[in-house]
Amino acid sequence: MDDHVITVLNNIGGFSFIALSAYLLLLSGEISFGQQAFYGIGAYASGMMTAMFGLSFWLALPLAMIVSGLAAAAVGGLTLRLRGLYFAIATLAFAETVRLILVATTWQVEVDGEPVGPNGSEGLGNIRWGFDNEYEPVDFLWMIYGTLGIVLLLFFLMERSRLGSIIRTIGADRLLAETQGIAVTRYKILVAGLAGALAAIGGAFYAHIQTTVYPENFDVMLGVHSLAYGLIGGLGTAVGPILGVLLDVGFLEAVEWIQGYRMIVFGGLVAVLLIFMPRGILDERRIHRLRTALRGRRQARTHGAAGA
Amino acid sequence: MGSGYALLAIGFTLIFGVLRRLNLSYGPSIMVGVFFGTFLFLQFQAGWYAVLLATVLGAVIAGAYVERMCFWAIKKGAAVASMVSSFAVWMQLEEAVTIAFPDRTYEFPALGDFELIELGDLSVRQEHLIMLGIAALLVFLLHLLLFRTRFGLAVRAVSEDPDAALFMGVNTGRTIFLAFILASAIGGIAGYFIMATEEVITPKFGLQATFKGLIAMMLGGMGSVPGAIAGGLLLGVVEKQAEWYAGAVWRDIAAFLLLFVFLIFRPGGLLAQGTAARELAALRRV
Amino acid sequence: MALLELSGVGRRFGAVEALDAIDLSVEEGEVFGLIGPNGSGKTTLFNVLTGVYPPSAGEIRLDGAPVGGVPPERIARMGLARTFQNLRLIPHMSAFDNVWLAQHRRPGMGMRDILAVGGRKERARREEVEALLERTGLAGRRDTFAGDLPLPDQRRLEIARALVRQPRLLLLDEPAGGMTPLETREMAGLIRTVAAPGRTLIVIEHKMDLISEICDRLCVLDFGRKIAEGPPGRVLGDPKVLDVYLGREDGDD
Repeated sequence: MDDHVITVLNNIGGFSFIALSAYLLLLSGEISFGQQAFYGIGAYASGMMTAMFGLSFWLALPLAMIVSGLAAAAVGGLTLRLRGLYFAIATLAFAETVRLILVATTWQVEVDGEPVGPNGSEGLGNIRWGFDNEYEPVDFLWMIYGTLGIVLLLFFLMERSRLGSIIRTIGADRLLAETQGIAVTRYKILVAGLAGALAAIGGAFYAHIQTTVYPENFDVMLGVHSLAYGLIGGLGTAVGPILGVLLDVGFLEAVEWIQGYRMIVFGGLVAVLLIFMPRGILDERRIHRLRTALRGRRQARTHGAAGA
Repeated sequence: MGSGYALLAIGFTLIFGVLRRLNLSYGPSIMVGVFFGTFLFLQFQAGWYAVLLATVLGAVIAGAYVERMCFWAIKKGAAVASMVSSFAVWMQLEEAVTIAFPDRTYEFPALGDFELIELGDLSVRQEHLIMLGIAALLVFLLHLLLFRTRFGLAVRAVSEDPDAALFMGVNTGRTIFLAFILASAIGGIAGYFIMATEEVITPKFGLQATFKGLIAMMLGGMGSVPGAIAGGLLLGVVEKQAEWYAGAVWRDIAAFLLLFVFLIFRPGGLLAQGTAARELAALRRV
Repeated sequence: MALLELSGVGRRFGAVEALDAIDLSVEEGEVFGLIGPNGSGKTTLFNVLTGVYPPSAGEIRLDGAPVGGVPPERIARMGLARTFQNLRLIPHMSAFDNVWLAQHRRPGMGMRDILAVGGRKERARREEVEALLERTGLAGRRDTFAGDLPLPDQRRLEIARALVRQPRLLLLDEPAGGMTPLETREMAGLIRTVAAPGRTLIVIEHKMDLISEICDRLCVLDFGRKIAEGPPGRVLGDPKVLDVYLGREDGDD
């Protein structure tokens, strides 16, 4: 594979995490414009741990997820009362505050005679862990897709378990969830925290591939994109948001003549798609139909076997 | 500055009021208008009235496009889809402008050369006073429009209860469209005056206008015109203070922090009362 | 002791007294009817009982334990389930899933059951859902989206969803609303089988034939006040009740 393809694939993988993060919140009925904050916190926290304090990436990743997850759970707790647009705007305000504070913050330590650490809008550079350990982009590719595979597996298990249906119930009708004995606030905080940790994975990989990250990488564009991915791809399954990423980063990147007009094409695509499929391509209905069809075939087969 | 924000917030509130949906593309449509204006100025050295007219016209055209694409075409009830769609159109507008105007920044004609006015210890820029005056005039006209005309009655009916309005024979689709146009025109005027004091424009202005209008609207309380004015003025004051004491970065941090804190402790906004409770109830239904 | 006891329960919204000093007691195993004109406070009473709104006055006891002002999820776990007059099914989930997800947090279910994706207990619970769909006549609609079901099926699905929580007290809000006479008769049959094992029911309904067929006792609300209570035969013959239902001629002329 040539380097460009690997880069594109790495981007798709990295964005998938934040797309899944926004998707998880969408399932619970919350529109977040602020998941980029947790992607950014994941990137900065893991980058600082490896670059400034010499931790291994494999230790920094879970730590960054915890930091980011706790921050997200705290924000989720604070914004519990807010619904719909109010929640969306509050998350946006939080994310912009985080980004601007990163712009305003400088904290550097000396590593091998060089200052390392967040340096305002100059960003956090010298995240050399991948380089020092001779990781090629293709190695990151395996790491990203391995992690993504695990995350997707967990998502599928969640969707099959009651946890998934509880989250969907809260998202569809909060009052109904309450009258069915679901402790809504507790689950909301849990979901916010999980979503924060998920976004942090993407950020951590991003930081270690790029080796330098800037506060501007985590602006509102990233957040709204990640939200759009779930809505384009569909709210029926965790594959939906990834399909959304594929469409944007994969397809549009691949088609030469779109270059330079990408936002116009993508924007138009999203707008038109949402007119015809307001819950995305792989929405609940299509997924349900697919599932019933698959089950029908399987049942037909077992019945056939029993008959013979 | 605050009066500019207030105008933006009024535009936001008008749209939110009739639609109960958020139009993220509001700022970018104004940005399109501002570029229309600057184009006229750079090409033909047009006078201020022509630039203003072009700005408003551009904002209105872009606003109409947004309305058709993101709100009229998307079914009732899919508020999230509308919002994301309006964001998608925002990206379209921003890139279209970037392609048409490839330089990073453009000059925008100033209102004129004005002296600072000294009022005791205070010094005030004259164009700010003009802005304030025009904002006040616009608010007055808007008030007349909303409370003294048939169109205003229709707008208020639709924002109260679209279904009931429909049964009463109000053409909701047309009312929404016209309210959109009106909001875009107000936004165009606000955009013109903000730009005429800044004198430099970039495509990023769309983002700023959306953010500032949004913050001011939320501070004041969604869907309320007096709230939008109060929110805009508060935002202007807080930003200026933060910038004065802590520097330019802190200006924006203060704005967002203010919004975040307000949402947590006073989600209904400054003028939170009956209306805000109603809004929250409406949101609960969404 | 009565299963449900209300003493002096009131609920006001601003200046409106939606419920005014309601005293009621519902015995274990009873089918209790709640009737009254539109806006008389029946659904408000359900909302107060289920914890959607806290009462602004008075005391509610469920099996002796005070539940006034307790959050809805806690009340639900104490064995109370309800259906909704305006139907709150999740439209983009199948009939099966709508019932299945309501099994959550029945007494005795813990975190492990929430995360389970298989296992003997979960299989048994799924069997139970299938059986309930069968019983409510929805077995053939198992995989249909709740939003695509015709109205009578949606009402039945709401009942199945409430039943799967194995409630001690079941509140039905207009179970036959919008149904034809034939469908109403079928619903009456269903409610009787639901009540058969000694389950306690409170039913809001406008259809008097249904009410008098299934209820042991009933109570009439008007403007948030209780105006009559007793067995159907007596209450429905009460001149005060007839007055409420036939219109207040004295005020009109």
